[in-house]
Amino acid sequence: MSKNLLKDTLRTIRKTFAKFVTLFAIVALGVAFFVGVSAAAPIMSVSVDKYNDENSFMDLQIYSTFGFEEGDIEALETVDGIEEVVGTKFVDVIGKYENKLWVIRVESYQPNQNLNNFVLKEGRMPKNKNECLAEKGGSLRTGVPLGAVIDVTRPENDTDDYLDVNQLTVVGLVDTPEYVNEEKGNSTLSNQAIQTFLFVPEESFSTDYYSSIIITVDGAKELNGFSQAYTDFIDPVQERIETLATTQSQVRRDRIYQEAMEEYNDGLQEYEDGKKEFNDEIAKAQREINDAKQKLVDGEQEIKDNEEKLETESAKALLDLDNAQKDLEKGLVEWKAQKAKFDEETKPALLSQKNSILVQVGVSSLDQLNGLITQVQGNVTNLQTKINDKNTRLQEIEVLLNTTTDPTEIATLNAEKQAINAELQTLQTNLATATATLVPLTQARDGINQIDAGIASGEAQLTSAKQLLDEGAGKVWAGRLELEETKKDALQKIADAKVELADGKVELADAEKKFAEEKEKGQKELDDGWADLVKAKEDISKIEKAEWTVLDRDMNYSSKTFKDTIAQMRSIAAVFPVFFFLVAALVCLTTMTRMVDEQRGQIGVLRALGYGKLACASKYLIYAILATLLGGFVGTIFGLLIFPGVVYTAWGMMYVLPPIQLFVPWDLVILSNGLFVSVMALTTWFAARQSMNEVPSQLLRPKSPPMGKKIILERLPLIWNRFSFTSKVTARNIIRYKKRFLMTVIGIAGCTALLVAGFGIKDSISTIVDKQFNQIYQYDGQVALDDDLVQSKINEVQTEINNLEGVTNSLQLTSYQAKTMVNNDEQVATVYVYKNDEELKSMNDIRHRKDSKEIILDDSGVIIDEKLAELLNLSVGDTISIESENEIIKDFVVSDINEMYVNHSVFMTPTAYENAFGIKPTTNILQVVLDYETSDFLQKVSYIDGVQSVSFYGSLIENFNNMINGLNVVVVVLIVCAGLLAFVVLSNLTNVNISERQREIATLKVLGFNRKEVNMYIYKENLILTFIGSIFGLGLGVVLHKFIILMVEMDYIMFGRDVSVFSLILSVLITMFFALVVNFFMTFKLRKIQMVESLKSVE
Amino acid sequence: MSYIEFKGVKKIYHVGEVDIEALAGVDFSIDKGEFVIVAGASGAGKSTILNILGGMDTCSTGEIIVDGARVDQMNEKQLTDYRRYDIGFVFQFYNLVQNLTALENVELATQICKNPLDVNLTVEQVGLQDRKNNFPSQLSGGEQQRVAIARALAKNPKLLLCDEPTGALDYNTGKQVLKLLQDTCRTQGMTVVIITHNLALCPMGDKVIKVKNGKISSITVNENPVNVEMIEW
Ligand SMILES: Nc1ncnc2c1ncn2[C@@H]1O[C@H](COP(=O)(O)OP(=O)(O)OP(=O)(O)O)[C@@H](O)[C@H]1O
Ligand SMILES: [Mg+2]
Repeated sequence: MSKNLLKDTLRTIRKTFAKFVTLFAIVALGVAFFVGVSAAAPIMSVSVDKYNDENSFMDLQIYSTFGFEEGDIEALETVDGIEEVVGTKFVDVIGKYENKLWVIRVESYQPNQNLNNFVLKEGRMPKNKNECLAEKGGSLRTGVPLGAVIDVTRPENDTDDYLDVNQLTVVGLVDTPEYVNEEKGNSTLSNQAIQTFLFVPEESFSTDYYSSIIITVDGAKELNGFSQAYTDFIDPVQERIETLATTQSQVRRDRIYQEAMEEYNDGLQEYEDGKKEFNDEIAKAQREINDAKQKLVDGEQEIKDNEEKLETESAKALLDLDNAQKDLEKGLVEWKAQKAKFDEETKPALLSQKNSILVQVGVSSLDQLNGLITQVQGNVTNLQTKINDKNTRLQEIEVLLNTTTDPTEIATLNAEKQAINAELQTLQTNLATATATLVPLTQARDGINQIDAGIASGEAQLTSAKQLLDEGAGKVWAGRLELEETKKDALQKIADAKVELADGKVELADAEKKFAEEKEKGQKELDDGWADLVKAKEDISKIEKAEWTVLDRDMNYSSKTFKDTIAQMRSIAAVFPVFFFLVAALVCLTTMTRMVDEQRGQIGVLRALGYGKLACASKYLIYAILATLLGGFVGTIFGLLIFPGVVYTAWGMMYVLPPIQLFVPWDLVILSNGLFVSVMALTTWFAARQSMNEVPSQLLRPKSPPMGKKIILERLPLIWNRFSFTSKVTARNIIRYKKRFLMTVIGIAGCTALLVAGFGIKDSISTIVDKQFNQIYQYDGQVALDDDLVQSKINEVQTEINNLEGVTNSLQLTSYQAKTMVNNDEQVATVYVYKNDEELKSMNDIRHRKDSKEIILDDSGVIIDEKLAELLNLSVGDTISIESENEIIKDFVVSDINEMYVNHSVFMTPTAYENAFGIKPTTNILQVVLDYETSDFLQKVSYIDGVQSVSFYGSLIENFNNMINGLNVVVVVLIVCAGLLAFVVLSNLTNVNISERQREIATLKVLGFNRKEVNMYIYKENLILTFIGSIFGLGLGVVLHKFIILMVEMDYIMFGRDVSVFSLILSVLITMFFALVVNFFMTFKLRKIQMVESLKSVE
Repeated sequence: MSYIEFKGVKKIYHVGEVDIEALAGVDFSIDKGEFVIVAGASGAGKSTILNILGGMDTCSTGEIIVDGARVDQMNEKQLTDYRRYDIGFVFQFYNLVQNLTALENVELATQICKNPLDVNLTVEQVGLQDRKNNFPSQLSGGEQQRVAIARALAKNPKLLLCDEPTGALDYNTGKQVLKLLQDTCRTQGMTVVIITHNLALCPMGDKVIKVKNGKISSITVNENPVNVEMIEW
């Protein structure tokens, strides 16, 4: 290429700078979008992979049907290719904190564990088993706050089986690669979603086995965890572990079997003991009742006896009293006779006898006699004393005589002895006389005393007899009184005893009833216990080899969803840039064609001068490639700066993401730039080719303008004649310039399609919330009931729930998770067994999506949801295999397919269920309709006895809304890009259009068309073309939207399949708006067209 | 006062640093109904004069009066109206709208003016009644030029301006076209100004204005203009 040609090229660029900028812009936009959006996926994956690697996120996780023990870990450590093995424990619990209930997964960690590390964001590590780490979370949702004290329970009340603590204090907040997704999958608590997680030291657990084993694979960190290479690298290790599983699980099985047997035997013993105790207690209770019964009978007899005894005894007593009285009366008569006899006979006789005695002794009275006697007695005593004194002196003298030797003294003494003896003689005589006198006197006195005593005794006898009689009379009277009293008391006692007896009888009846109840209850308990034992025995016999499930990261909810998201981004990246390519090619084609046309004379001259085809074409190739390279450069920079960041931030609303790792994906950069360069070069070549193929002389002549032609419309004079003149011109112009028509329509259609797709994605997701939760689900939540509740208890629970504030309706039904299958395809769906269509409709709006026609549920088949039908490739009338509650699989006919967006559902009637499975479904769910939800509603419900778990949709809706917010950013990006694209395309096309028709426009101006008329002449076409283009764009957009949705959709969610009319209209309006704006700017260009210059030369 | 008057009209183009004086003070006048020939060497300034007269361009200085109106003082809108109602223009390269049939091209002009002539009649007048529904590409050069003339005539303008109407035509066709113009002038009393290189044509004009280097070199009034048929060249 000659120097001048290069100069010419550069000069052309300067002269046609607007065109150059257009090419530059479209390429910049295209490359920016291509590189940016395509880079989003690798940047997302690299960022998270780095995070995973830094924290040694597990490569494999093993679950076993029976858990693991230390031996398993040791065995695993020997497996080839394994880097690190750690056993973890986890349990799903309900955590209560500040009246809020959370479904929490509590996971153990070991202090020195170098696997699944978490990043401590706030606070500190736990120091004891009562402390834990909680989720730091993303911007929109967080876990339990720092410092919170969480009460931990499980619906089955078996927390102790897992945890050593009932309360955990949050001391630190962490992020973990294990839970990158703010959604954390389902818990083991009747499939409620895990809301947050807690990490606790291993000693917080009471279990002695590991719930799972996590593993890192040697060298896996080197690979990107979201790549196929990684999967291929992990696979062999996974297989080796699976091989190990066969031997290792047998070991564990044996131990479990042994333990279970021991436990069974213990249970059996306990049962036997219980039975014995029960029998003993029953016997004892029976005995007690019998005793009580006997006592009652005895008591009754006693009362009867007492009554009889009272009767006889009181009669006898009365008789005795009467006899006594009679005796007394008789005695009194007798006494009176005796007294008369004594007074009249005995007493006078005795008195006269007394007098005669007195007379005999010579005294007149007894006192005289007594005086005489006393006097005589005094004499006697006196004499006696004197004799005694003399005798005493004699004895003294005798003593003295014996002792003394003094003869004088002996003499005196003998003298005195003599004298005394004499005196004694006299005294003795006197005493005898006196004593003799005393005898008759004392005899008389005794006689008198005897008589007096006789009288006195006679009188005393009478008196005492009388007294006895009187006493007797008193006694009889008192006896009568007493008898009366006693009788009364006895009667009272009998009455009391009777009352007591009656009470006793009632008591006995109660006791008997209670006994019967207790006995029945005990018996039932025993029976249940026995049934449990039998079942346990059966279960034990069924204990198979422990089943090891080795899961790779794809089975980790968080990791898998993120991988899906990356794949989604990748598919979006695969679709949209294609548009930009097409549009860029289109723009390039129009621009370059126009330029070649404008310069055909020059080309002709060059060719005539002897320049080759390629040399001539190279100018345009260089022009286009230069624009492309520059655009590509700028586009690459801006694309990488903007898109990955925006996309990453957008997904950050759903995921807890680590900081973004920006890097230049050279492969993408080279690919996209290369593609754009080749596309642009090819299009340019294509545009120039025709002119290059013409001979120079031809080129020097003006290009023959396209032929005018009648259009089809003109064949319909009825319509055609109605057109105004300018409309005719417009109509003909539109149709005549086929290339322009096509380009404009394609370009505009592309933009509208992008807009439709953008708005459509938003529609699709937002409809989920509205249609699923506001239209299809008429209920607001589900209450899962405890297993094996009796019907009356279920009714009770229902009444209790119905009585809660805000509840308007509730319904009992059967619902369970079931595998559904067609051939080898399998999906998990929720089976709902509603009694009849009416009940189904009271809780759901079951309809076709397309025509909104209501669907009737009957016994002939099942209604399945659209997405399930799609995944299993089913249509109405086909057969689907469905599991029963106890995992029997039977075939059903699909009677209809309904609209459903979240999860898979199968509706059937109990009859259909029973016909297929041969058993009745068990009621285990209450669906509840709320008017409004009180703040403590969930808590109230969950505390109702018999309620296992509660799930209401409020939180689910919130999650979806978060997801929509995330996607909104993506949608905005899409829309902005579509807008820019529309702008570039429209301005390019209009520009080309105007420059192509400059002569025509100048002619119009010469003819005196004013500004407005000229504008309209051109713009009418533009607007019509834009409109036609956007209508095509709608169709294209709907297809594109569907394509994207199908790519982005997950298995268990159906996005709305329809773009709303509003979005369609909006897309068209936005496109039209862009067209108007472009047209507005183009009026300046139109105005600038100079008549003279334009018309001077040949075209 | 004449129907058309140019008084000291100058037109200077500024091309970069250089000023190109296309018209260096032009004075002439034309009466109503005159058939005027403008002749001169290439680059003399003929087209410039015609463009300025037709309101497609403006002069730098000087006065231009057409039917009492000061064309040089008109603004863009007035110029548009002037072109719309008063001027009919015929170009060397026809400048037909390719997408419109002969008839429609004529209609395109009549659509916007106040009292146009009957379109069909005008087309008949230029002898194209049989081809009126053909598109320009289906017509010969002379036929196309006649359509262009019909388009100009149908507007019923005060002034018909033709810039080398026969430049792209062969001898006979050129003659036909010139005859058409001369006849129109004679029969309808329309003022016609024709630019030509061909000095042989000078005798057919009522007035011949010769231009040289942006100036009028001579103005010849032809008392006895010849019919174009009479002229051979
Ligand atoms: N847009 C322009 N810019 C600069 N100069 C111009 C322009 N238009 C015309 N000229 C100059 O004005 C002069 C007169 O040009 P004009 O077109 O009037 O000549 P002409 O007499 O019609 O020639 P021809 O017979 O070749 O058509 C020429 O010298 C030309 O170079
Ligand atoms: Mg000229």
